[in-house]
Amino acid sequence: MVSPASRVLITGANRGLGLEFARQYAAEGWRVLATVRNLDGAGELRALRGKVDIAHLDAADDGSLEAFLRDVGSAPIDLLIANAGIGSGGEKPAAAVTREEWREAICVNTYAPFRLAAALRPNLERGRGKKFAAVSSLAASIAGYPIAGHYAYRASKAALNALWRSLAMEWRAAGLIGLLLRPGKVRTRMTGFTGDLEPVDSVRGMRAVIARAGFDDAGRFFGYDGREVPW
Amino acid sequence: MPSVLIAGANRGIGLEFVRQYAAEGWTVHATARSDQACAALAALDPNVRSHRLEVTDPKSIAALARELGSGSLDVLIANAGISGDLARPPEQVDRRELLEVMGVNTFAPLHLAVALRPHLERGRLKIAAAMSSLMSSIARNTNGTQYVYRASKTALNAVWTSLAREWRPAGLICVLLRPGFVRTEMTDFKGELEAPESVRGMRKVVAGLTLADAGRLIGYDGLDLPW
Repeated sequence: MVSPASRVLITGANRGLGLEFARQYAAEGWRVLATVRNLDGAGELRALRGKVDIAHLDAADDGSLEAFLRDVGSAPIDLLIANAGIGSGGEKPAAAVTREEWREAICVNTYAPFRLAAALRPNLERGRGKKFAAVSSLAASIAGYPIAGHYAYRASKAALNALWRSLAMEWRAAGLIGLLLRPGKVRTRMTGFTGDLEPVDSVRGMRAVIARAGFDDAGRFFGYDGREVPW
Repeated sequence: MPSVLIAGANRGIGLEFVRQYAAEGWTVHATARSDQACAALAALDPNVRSHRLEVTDPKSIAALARELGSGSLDVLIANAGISGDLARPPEQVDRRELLEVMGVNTFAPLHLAVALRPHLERGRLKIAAAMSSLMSSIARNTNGTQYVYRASKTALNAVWTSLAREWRPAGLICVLLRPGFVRTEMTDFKGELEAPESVRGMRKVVAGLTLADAGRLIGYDGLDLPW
């Protein structure tokens, strides 16, 4: 049983994996700070039992991020789960990748989680948990992804892995543990509900990975099943 | 003799590729961003044809493809790249810089390859090579730093290996090259080897490629770099 005072920040918590993370941590007695891009779409989040605070954050919008960081202030955060992201938009050939598409993928999937973590370092250092995790994807695995398409999405998640790994390596000395997570192919809106796994099982697995991660795991990439994902 | 197009050819590794391939008698298409640099390239050797190219501008890429017309291209070397501010700490990395560096280092090579695919398909060697870096390797990253540059090159690896998979059925060989730590302007001339040695090594790698090598990241020393 974790300390009831442990505090987790979860982005993109209005549905899918983020909502499930919020549900499970709240059920275990954590204090959950859940962020959503659209407060009107947070009905399921509001209905959760437990200590759940909901805040607006569109991390791809500098103004929204600054306002959010002001509200968080110097509050300690035990665990950051950078979950918010956009999907691949389907499998397309290289010739179909547009500037608009890749810029959006990089802003939302790469820059936003990185920027948030970089800004929250003092909060993480004040927390007791000292862990920061990003929801990555098998598509980020250069060695392990067997599909050709999804160029912008793959690039955005591979770049996220690179940035998160760098943060983890630099912040290790401060006692912080950075982790990358592969949720598996989960039945959520992002996969068109075609996955082979339910959110409850994926999140349970990822929570177990986070809970047991030690210093030697800083900067590593783990699946919901506990197995390390090749870069 | 075969033909090669080298993007970002006005200095450093790109320029050395131009010199060496031209000296061997290849037809060399060399691109640079300014008229001045193009003139200097064209004056290097009768085998060199220079082209103005701004790799982040789709119109400029389309114009290059038109200039090459119905000709063929044996080898593309997508070498143009920028380092960004390597010393910037994470909390000072901003969106503008990430988009700029990824625009040049990650997506411009992809767009260039797509535009020149017809020329490569008409060529005999059918090789599309992109310039990666030791910094692209997440496995080798044990100390952080160089955030944006690393991310751009890791993402390049991701898109280029995808391209290798997509284009392989057409007989096209997409590979990533690692030049090593070369004394060039980008490294403040602090590297461990000179450009001629690095380029000789990479040319040797290119000369030995077969379709079975598609999707590899190979160093100037012939060794694969772990992802």
